[in-house]
Amino acid sequence: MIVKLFFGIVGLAIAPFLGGLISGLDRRITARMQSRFGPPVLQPFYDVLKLLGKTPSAVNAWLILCSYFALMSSAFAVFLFFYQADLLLIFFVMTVGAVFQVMGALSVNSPFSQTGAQRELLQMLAYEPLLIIVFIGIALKTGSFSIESVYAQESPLLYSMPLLFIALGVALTIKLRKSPFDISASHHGHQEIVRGVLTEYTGPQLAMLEIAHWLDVVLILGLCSLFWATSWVGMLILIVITYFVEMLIDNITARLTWKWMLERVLLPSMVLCILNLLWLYALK
Amino acid sequence: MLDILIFFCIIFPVIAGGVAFLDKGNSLQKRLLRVSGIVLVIASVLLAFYAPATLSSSSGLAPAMKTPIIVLDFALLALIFYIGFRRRHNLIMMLAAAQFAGMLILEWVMLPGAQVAPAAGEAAKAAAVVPPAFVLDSLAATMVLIVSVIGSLIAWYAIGYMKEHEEHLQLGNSAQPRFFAVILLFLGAMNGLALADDLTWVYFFWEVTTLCSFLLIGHDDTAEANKNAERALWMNMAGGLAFVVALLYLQQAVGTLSITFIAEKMRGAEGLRPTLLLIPMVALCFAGFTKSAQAPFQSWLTGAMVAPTPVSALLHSSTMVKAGVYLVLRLAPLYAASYVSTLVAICGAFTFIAMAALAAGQSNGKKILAYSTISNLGLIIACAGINTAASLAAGMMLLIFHAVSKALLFLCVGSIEQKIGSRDIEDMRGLFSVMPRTALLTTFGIITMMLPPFGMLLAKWMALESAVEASAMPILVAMLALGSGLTVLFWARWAGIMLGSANARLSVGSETMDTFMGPVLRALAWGAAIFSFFAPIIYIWLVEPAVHGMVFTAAGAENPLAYVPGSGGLANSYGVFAVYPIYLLLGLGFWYAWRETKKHGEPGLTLPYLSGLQTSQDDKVGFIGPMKGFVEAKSGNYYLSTFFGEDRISKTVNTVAIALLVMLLGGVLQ
Repeated sequence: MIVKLFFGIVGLAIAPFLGGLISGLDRRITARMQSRFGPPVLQPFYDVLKLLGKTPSAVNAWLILCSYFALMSSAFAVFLFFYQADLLLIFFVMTVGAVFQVMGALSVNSPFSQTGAQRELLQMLAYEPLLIIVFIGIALKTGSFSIESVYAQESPLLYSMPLLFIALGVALTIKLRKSPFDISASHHGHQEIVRGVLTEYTGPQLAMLEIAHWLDVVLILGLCSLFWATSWVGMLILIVITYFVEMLIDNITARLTWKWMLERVLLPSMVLCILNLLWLYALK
Repeated sequence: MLDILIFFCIIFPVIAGGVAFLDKGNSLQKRLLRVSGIVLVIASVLLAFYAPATLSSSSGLAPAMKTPIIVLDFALLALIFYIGFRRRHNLIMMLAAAQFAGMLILEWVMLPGAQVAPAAGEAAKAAAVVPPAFVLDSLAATMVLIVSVIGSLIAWYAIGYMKEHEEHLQLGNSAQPRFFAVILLFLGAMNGLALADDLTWVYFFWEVTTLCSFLLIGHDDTAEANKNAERALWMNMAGGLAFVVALLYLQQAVGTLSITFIAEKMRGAEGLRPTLLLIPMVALCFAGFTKSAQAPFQSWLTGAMVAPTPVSALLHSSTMVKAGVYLVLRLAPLYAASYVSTLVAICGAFTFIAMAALAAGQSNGKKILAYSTISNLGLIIACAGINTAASLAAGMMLLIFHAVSKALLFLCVGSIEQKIGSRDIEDMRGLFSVMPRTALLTTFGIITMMLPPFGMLLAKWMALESAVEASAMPILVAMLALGSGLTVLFWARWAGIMLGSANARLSVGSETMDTFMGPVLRALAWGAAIFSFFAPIIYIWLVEPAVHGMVFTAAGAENPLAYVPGSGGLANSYGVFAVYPIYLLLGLGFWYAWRETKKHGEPGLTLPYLSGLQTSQDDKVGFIGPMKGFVEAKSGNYYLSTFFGEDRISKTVNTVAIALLVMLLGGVLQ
């Protein structure tokens, strides 16, 4: 209990720095893929610090409230992950932040923000069922929803649930709004200055959402690492490969519509999930 | 004492309703409603402390009720037949006549024949054969609490609402006495249904609720109201007919109609379930499906929203539809570990996802609530079908928390509709600046339906974790997961758009609320918050004892607990439901965020971004359009009609649902 609490707190303390660093590396590698030099690796931290120093200015108070809540629930979810809590609990706590972020965007009468929020809800519709099924698959395999039981496994989960891992990868791309699923966070086709659901969050509020996003990156990579929880090296290799593939996809695909996402991505991924569940179910 | 409490729960509201009906002046009526509400609440709470208990049918209150119930049963069927005749509705007439004939056979041919048998045995044995009239187990106590407490709150709200409603419709001749009489009768019948052990009595109360809902849906007496009331009547009568078939079958096959005795006989058969029993179980589940408006019968409940809003709240949260799931839950042990159970779970899960999809395609607030009710009832039925101790507990938790939150939401929409004259959620944009308190209460209600740390989410979480052990698990889990995703979509969208305000300072303006309606809304909101916090205690006090008796185990073995208290909440081998820490941490977080937000002042106020052309005029936000004119910014939600439109998917939903029902019936008839 105490040890788990310690892990939780330390994990939560490290997570923002780790997330910011990953974000910096992401920008750097993305730039290299596009034959650019790219910003310094610490650029995301400079950005956030600058935003935090700005005078707050918001259209209404709900945006401020919602950004606080989004950050807190992301932090709570990361804490729960390192605390090795119940997987579905982590998922539900993560949902709180996502819902409040959308509610804030919906409270402003701006078409950019509104459209972004509607699209974000559709993205949630696309990744939530996948995550739930992945977690249920893990429970079917390990006999419990707690992360602790995953670490108690003798062979990596990836062997028995490869299709669920693919589904998790899809869910990850949608949750992190990486191309082709950056549907909710962009509106102006060319300049990308109006960022959909994020349009009306400014200054410190935007900084809080950015930190929340870093925490989400850490959480989701952590969830990926569960698929090779038997060795540290395996875990690290799996995370690096997964995130590199994410970046590659981010760079080689163009944004697609939400209809395409629901029809061509969610439904086939659900089929993959069900196939993998049937497999686990038959073995059980 | 138990007799007296049961009298106050079942018969007292009926008498009070009768007095309310005869009293044409409104002064007595209000007092009567207030008093009977208080009596019901007190009686139901006291009753809950008596659980578990049984009341024999040979002494006390029960023998006095026996003959009146038989007489009234036939009178009721005759009345429904007459309604069918007056409305020239052949289907209703046929269904009523068929039930009348079935009950005649049961009461005059089968029952007298059956009663000779025990008399031949020894005297001691004969005493043991007397079935209980009322069984007060924890499931029944929970149901009585829901009906009496939530039902009374809704009745109080209705006092304020109906006054405004009649003024609005400019009705000269007040129909209020009849309205309140029916509501009280409804509550009494629901309590009777929950407590009765003899299935003929359950059937009687079942049909009373059918008639009550018919009368209430048709209350406004418009063409649409009458049409929808007739639809509700025939669909529920079809369920009633299935109920009669089950009664006849059970009497023939088992020789008793007492739920306790049927369960005992099955237990006696060393865990072997006579497969013959599955036919009446399917019939009763079918009756439960019609009453709970499960697909393909959802149209009667969505049609029921033409009635005044307190009626919708009553039908959706504490009465009527809850009777259906109550029956399916109550009978769960009798069809456990069978093909029927698996299919019941699939039917429920299908309704869960299909109705969530239909709700996602709606902009009509009441319809969203209606579909979400059916969807949640589907989840309860899926839990009953999964049929493990953990899933039955999840089903009961859903039953409790859904009642509180849904009553709150319906009553909020009622208040909103009376103020803004619309129930469309697009018209509720920026409601916070018009009705700050009601808007916050509605938003809170929505949050309690879908987010942690509230009870509905806890129950859904339990349901998802219990689904791992289900048979046909992969398909079931896929439906539950997709359904939960859709649920978040339609709730979050609604909550978000209500909050709009042009004020950077976080302050909740004042709002005058009706003296009856305001306190009820606040009470329900507090109820949702407090009960969610005490969810583990509710589980230990009400849910665990109920579930404990519902799971069959080998003789001598102790039933394993579905969830063990501890770890800051509840836990089982699958997961830890740490209710208290989550509640406290999220509550603390919310308090902190609220306080920090309050610190922000006006200076930062800006306009929404509209490509740099944003401006405001007369408190409206817009942009400078062509000819330098002001254009107001307007936006609307995605309702995804190409995916979830009612006209687009209703047919498919109904076809699949009918196919599932045919599979359910066909499977057992083989």
